[in-house]
Amino acid sequence: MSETADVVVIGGGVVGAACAEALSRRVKRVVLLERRGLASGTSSACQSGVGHGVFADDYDLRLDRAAIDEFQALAADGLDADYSRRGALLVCGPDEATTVREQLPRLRALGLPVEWLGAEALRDAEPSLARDYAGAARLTDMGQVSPMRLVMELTARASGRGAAIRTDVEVSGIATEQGRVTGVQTSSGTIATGEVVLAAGVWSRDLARTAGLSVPIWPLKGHVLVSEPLPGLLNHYLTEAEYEVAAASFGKPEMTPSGPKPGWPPRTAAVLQPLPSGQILIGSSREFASDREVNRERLAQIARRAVRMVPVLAERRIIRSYAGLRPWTPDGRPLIGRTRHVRGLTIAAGHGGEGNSRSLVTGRLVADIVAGATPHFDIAPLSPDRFDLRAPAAAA
Amino acid sequence: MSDGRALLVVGGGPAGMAAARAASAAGLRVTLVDESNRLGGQYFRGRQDSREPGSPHAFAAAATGVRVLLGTVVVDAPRAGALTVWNQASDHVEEIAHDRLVLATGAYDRPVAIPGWTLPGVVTAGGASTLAKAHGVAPGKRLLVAGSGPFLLSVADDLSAKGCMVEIIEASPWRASASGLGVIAMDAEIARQTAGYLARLATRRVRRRYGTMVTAIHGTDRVEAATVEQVDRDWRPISGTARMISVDGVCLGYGFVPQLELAQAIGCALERDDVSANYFVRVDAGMRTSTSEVYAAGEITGLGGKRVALAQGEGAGLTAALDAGALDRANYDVRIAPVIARLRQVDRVADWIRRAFVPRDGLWSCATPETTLCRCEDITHRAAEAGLAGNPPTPYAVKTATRAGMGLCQGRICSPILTEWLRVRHGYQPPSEERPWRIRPPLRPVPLGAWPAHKANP
Amino acid sequence: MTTAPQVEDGALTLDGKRVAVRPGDTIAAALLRQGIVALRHSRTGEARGVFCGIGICNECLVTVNGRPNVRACVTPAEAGAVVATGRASP
Repeated sequence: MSETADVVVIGGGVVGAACAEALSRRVKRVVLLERRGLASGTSSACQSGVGHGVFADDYDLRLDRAAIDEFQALAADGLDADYSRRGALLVCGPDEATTVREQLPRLRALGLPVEWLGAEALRDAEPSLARDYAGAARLTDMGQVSPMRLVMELTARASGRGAAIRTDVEVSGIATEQGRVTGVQTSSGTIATGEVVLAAGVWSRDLARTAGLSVPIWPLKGHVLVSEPLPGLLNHYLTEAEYEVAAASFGKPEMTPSGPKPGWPPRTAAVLQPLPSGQILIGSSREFASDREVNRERLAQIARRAVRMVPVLAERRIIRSYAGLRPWTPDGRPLIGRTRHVRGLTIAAGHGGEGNSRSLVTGRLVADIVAGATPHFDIAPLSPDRFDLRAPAAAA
Repeated sequence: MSDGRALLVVGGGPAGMAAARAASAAGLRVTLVDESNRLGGQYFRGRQDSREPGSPHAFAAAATGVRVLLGTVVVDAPRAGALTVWNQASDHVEEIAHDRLVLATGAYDRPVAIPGWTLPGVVTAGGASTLAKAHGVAPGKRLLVAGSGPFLLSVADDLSAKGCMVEIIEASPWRASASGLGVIAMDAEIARQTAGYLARLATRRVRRRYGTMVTAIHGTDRVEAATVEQVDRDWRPISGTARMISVDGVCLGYGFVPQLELAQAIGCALERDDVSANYFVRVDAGMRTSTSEVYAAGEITGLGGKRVALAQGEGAGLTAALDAGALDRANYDVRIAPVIARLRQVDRVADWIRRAFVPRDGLWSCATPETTLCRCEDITHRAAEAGLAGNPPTPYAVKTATRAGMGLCQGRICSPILTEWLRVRHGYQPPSEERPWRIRPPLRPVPLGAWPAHKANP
Repeated sequence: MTTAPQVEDGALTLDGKRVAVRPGDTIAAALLRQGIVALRHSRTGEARGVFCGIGICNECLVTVNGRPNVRACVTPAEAGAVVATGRASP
């Protein structure tokens, strides 16, 4: 195959699909390359909340606001993808309640509607919760989406505008000449192009190396248990405040040239996501590992947290478990933008546990970048060059 | 305490009981696990008092010293040498360590998606047989037993014995059944059994139609009628032959699908048999799988029926004892010889059935776009088609796009249908050595309080 | 959640109505003996009932004493059990 494209998007997960969809509105010849099947990577092995946390930086919260707005806009434009917005509860014990409540005014000021529910209001809002929580922050604009359906709908829209969506195509390298992208080498030939969007999630590090770059994205493994259909058991997406603490404390493990230093203790915290089909996705865990085998001990830790939160779950059945790899970065923010080291390359990867939530806003930003327009959002803090991408590439 | 002689047998049907018995007699310490509250598997369901060879009665009478755990489900194979099991009644969870393992997890009726197959009153042939024998009930009073193979005679016998009006709809032509006369005549047991079926069916006026298929089932909240059509040798309906029959139940009997989840979870090599559209566990002459210290017997190695299962089970038990050093080679050779001979002998009828009544491609063409494909998640064939949307057609692509296979049964019902539909309609080539369906724990639904963290073991 | 009405030995209640139970019955058997074949409705509103009869397909789901998704074909029918068809709140 010898062909040309205006832009090649590498990666068929939620981020790649969102980039292809947004690009297909502005650019004629978009080609998306996925090495296996659409959504076959992290996008089919995750939980999929769309929203925000409570302890994040102002900047991240603004980005999350923009991310939610993109979902709202696309939903108004006919996107289905099982997107719904029923709100989330950040459930607090007495120790966490004060700290969480302190954050709420800041969130409101940033346009994120939140309210505090005391113990009694919490019982009304979510009757199946354990009775000893002090209360909860209700994040009203928090929702969820089906990542797999999102990928299918976005790629279908892109196809409808002339984009070529190719699965089972392995990219072996990004070709560059004198510091500029010239094409993409694949298992079925080379595609000549001046613009490449690297949206390959945890696999972005390997691919970036072919362009001489060392991109600080490493797999942060998570586990999920799937319940039998339990429609009506939960009214909200539920997280325990400890999850926020866990996520925040993951920000800065000790780094070595080959990634996070081994021995970093795994974290688990209950995150319960009730799907439209009735099953509840029960997470979560975080540890630095690159395999997708389910670790039974980790599942057991998640199970204990979940039962502590919703006791009746002990009597309800699990039908499946799985593990997925979040693309983690050392500062917890994705890499979205060009790099001065390689012209024509836009990186859109490293979304950690926020890939689903920030997929659409990433797509929009990438389309702006590639088209040379000013992004609607200040993306300087997301610049790939905030890291030294020329650092010696270490062994994977 | 590992002297290599702890044997765990999963599945208490004919194969599992035979393996447990033979291994125990040869000096192994055997634990036998079955999810049902009674031994016997599907074959002896509702016939607990049977005195047939290999029956639960015979097993109990042999006083084997086997530790039997009933009502116990294997939920995980966490590592080599251990299975996690859960007892449903006591809610007790334990990890059973074993030196060797025999998988005898049996098979279930092949699911077939024809229009109306989800209506109440449509059951599998095996399910109908179980309901009739164990409980004396049936899904209706006027029944079609539709499918292919001699099993239909047995099911019709069970149902008509309970007073139902029954008609057999056999998809293969009459000559396929007739082709077995020679083989049956040489097998006294089967000849007697078959003659019995035919005589009783005749007495009860159970009609048999050949070269005919149920191509659609009709009704609002239950079965009210069925369309039957004559079919050609590829089981494709012959136009102009459709007739509607007023019935209130349909029993679908198109062969069986082996229960491979545990074998897959352990990593045993499988191989696809294109003729029967099934994957089976690959075994050597001693019933060893590709995984060391793991053996397989019965339907999961090939659909052979009860007598084959008994012989294979005995073979697996003896081989496990040999490999564990409990049985010396000379002894083994003496004991295994009649088993091999028996296997060769009983396999003749099984082999005929395997070849004469294979599912043909016309079976997968009955579904319309509105026909349900995944029952658990309510996915139609139309939705599956749309989900493919130009992607390479694989079961995985349909699952990702539609959630087919993500429900309670975890693909046990829809994955056989999906695989064959993709093959016949989209040219999909099922891999020859890998079942295109990923298995993750738990292997069966299990309460969160029992697994993965048992509340008694924080 | 329903409170259990008074039932005699040898019967369960199905959606409030009494259904006789014989020793050894599964829930499915007890219901089929009365000609009750529809046990639940799918998400799309279709009636569903026993299909495989051996506990594999998970179609014959009923709620028993408040526990959802119970397979009627492999679950013993106990006298006094409160059984509900269709989807019930878990």
